[in-house]
Amino acid sequence: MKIIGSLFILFASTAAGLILARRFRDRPREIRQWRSALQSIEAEIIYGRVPVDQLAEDLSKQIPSPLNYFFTLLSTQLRKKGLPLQEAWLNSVEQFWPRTAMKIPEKEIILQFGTTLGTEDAENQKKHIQLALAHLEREESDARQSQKSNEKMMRSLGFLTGVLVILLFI
Amino acid sequence: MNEILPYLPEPFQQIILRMPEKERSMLEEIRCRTGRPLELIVSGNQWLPSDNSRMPIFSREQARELLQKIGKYSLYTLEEELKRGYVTIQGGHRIGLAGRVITERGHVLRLRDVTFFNIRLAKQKIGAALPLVPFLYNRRRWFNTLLIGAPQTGKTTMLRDLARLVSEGIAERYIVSRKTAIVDERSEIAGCVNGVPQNRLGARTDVMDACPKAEGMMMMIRSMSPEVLIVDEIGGLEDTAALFEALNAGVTVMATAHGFTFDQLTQRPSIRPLIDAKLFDRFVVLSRRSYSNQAGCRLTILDQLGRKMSATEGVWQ
Repeated sequence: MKIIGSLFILFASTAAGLILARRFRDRPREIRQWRSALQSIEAEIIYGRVPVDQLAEDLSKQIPSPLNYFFTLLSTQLRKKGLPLQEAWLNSVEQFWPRTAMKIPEKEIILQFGTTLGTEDAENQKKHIQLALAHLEREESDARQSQKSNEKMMRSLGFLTGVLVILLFI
Repeated sequence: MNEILPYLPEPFQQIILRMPEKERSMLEEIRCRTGRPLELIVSGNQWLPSDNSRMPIFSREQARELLQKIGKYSLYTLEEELKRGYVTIQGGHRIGLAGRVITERGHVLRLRDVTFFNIRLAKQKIGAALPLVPFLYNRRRWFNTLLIGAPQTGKTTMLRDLARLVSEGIAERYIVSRKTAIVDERSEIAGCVNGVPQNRLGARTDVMDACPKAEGMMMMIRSMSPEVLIVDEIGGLEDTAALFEALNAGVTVMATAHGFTFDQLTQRPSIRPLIDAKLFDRFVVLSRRSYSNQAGCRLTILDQLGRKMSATEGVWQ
């Protein structure tokens, strides 16, 4: 009986540790995804002059999960509901956010970028994208730093907490 | 009509939806000016609601939103259009734009603050050019034709329908269809959106959209081997040179030119050589007439030397 109980505790705490660790691992990966999405938006705008609703639909098919969900949201809001872009962008970010491991600074950058998208000519649009890319790059290196220091720690911390609790109970 | 409504602000939509059916069907222009009331043009005259209610004012915010909607919230797709000053939208309707212009070395770079909009509703009048056919077709070939008229007399409408007749052919009159090429510098004949014509132009029509006429005509002749070449509003000297080339290459040309009368046209240095060389077989002079508040049109057909052959009058709408 005791053994089964302690195994439970150990399992739960290890799992919690792994989940926390995963947040640290996913964050830089997702920021990287955003950066590549922004780069393809840039290319499409500069060379193709593709309108945003078309862009969103294309990206929802090209980009790997979870980011493709954001562009699916955006494209349905633009095409089916006919919302203005700024509103659709804001709604999509809010709906999409619970699914990501990203933090507040990234959200700010993306919301800021959304307010500029589609309001200027290609030349200025490029500058805005470059700015967002630079911000995201900085966040990404931050995220990598904290991944390096925290991921392993979280994983082992989870396991060790479990062991500690078991020892205390026994 | 239904293509236009979603672009307009809510109060404007209401006004148009509440118009009497008959007047709505004759609506020609919807003009929006920032800070000024909405203006509707019905068969050439300003239309006001019969109950004397005020027209809603077009606000700065609505102007910005209208422009955003026209560009599908992607202003960078409108760069070329903001330089030319008009946009063609789904359905072939044209939206003319005006506002503050940014220039670079004396040339227009683009419009920045777009504050004036003129939505011109495209209405293709199928069959408008039918009365002309007996004069313009003979012995299995179409004549080289120049349509002459002042602005708003229906030159382009006429030319568009001629293009349709040429490329569709008329089976009951034993007129076979021909390969037709349209050089549509101002996107008015075909009303292309992303290169796809929005107007009915027959199955055998090729369109060079938004292309300078002189170059476009040469490109078409070289690459698309048209039998009939259709071009709007000739006037420049390069146009004349290209027309000489086309007419001598055995391609039938149908064109329009601004002018009130044939005599006035012969004074224009760029068009005179074409008339002197007798390259056009027929001239059609259009003039606007009104019949009890309805816009109408008078057609006068002249032969190669400018002698009157016939005149017909017709009600447009």
